Amino acid sequence: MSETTRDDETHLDEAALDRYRRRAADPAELLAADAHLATCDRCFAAVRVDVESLQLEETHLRYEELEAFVDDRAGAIDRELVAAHTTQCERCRRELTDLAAARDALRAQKPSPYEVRVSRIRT
Amino acid sequence: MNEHAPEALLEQYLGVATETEADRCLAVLLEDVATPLVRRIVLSSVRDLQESDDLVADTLLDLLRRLRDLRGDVVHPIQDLQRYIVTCAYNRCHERMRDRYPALTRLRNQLRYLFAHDRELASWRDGEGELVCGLREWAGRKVASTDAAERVRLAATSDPAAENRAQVTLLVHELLHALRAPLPLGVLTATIARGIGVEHLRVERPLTNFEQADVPSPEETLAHRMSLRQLWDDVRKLAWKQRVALLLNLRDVQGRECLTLLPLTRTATIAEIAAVVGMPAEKFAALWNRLPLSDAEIAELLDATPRQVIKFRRLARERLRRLAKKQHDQNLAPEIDSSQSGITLVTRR
Repeated sequence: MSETTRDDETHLDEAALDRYRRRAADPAELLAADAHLATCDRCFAAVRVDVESLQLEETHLRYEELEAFVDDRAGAIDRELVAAHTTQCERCRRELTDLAAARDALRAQKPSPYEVRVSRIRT
Repeated sequence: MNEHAPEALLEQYLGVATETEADRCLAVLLEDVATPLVRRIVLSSVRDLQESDDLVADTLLDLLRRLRDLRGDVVHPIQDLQRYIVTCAYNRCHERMRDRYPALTRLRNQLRYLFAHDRELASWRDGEGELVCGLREWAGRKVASTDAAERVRLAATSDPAAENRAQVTLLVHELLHALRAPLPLGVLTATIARGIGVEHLRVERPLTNFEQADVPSPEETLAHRMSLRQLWDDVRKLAWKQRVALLLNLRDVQGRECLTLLPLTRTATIAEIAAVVGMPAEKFAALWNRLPLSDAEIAELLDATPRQVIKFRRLARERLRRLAKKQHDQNLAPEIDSSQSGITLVTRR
């Protein structure tokens, strides 16, 4: 770590701060600089960013995951994922409910609707 | 190998030494290979010109981010670049359709389910990877044209709610028996949608640019945002594999790397983050400049597959969101202050 000494304190110089900011420092320099920045307000002021909160990347459920879930074919991790996501995502929850209804309708359906229609036409 | 072939361009991009050269290769890849493919796929799914332009731009941005992540990987996961681009474009289109046309999406899901489970029907992938639907014995048969499907008059009653599943099933059988040929899922969905009147049911939202389309309501945004401090506190409650999968590829909703924000906001030091991912500080510091790591690299660290890494990370995000929402709801929940003589509602902020 390159340092400058001022007022009886050791600080990071501009080049070291720049390497830290650009993520160009080698591991030893990085850890030393990071430890210094954690306690030195003066150096920290040169690199700090004003971000207080963030929203994480979001991934919705894929059709294949919904289908495996309603058919009871999903593994433990996938089931947990679907259950966790649908408690918080209304869109995926609706799609899941809708697909479960489609499954139920299909299971209740006998004989095929085309055969029913054809038989009606014939009679 | 032809030096202008997609795979050769990709190898060249991954192999060049400087970032300037890499950017030049990336520009060629995006302009010459990705843009025409993405445009063709988007225009086949989205008719609205403004919307298709937004979608093309967004898909290219997504690809740019993914391809940038590949730099530095010893083993990159792309075997067939064109197929990779096609898959990305299809996925983006599908996500946009889910957002804008929820009724159409539910109908599409219902049809996919029907073709996967009805004893007379089947679906299969054609040479370009598109899902094709038809009678079980038609697998491999040439698909009917969109025009032919549009000419079939379906005896449907308008059912905007698309709740009449029996009618949908009936229409599918009528359509296929009239055409005597299979149809791509997209064409089949559009044809049935016209029959039951859900074709134009669209969620209207301002779409001046793509980012706006993905912005949830202010209330949802509040519920989904979390402070860095809260994120850091909650991450430590996750299982180790979830922590590693999440932190080493931590991104915000716009896909930007954001683990490096923790020391820059004095939320956590690099040594503290190393401890949470269970790694010696020196080893973690050696990775720091390359963050976010690819799924393949994280998989090696966890002795897992890249697919498992993606699932660990998704589970981690779901758990964090649940914790953030709980916190958000608690902060907004009125509480009864029983120390007062009367009952007073106090809203905590």
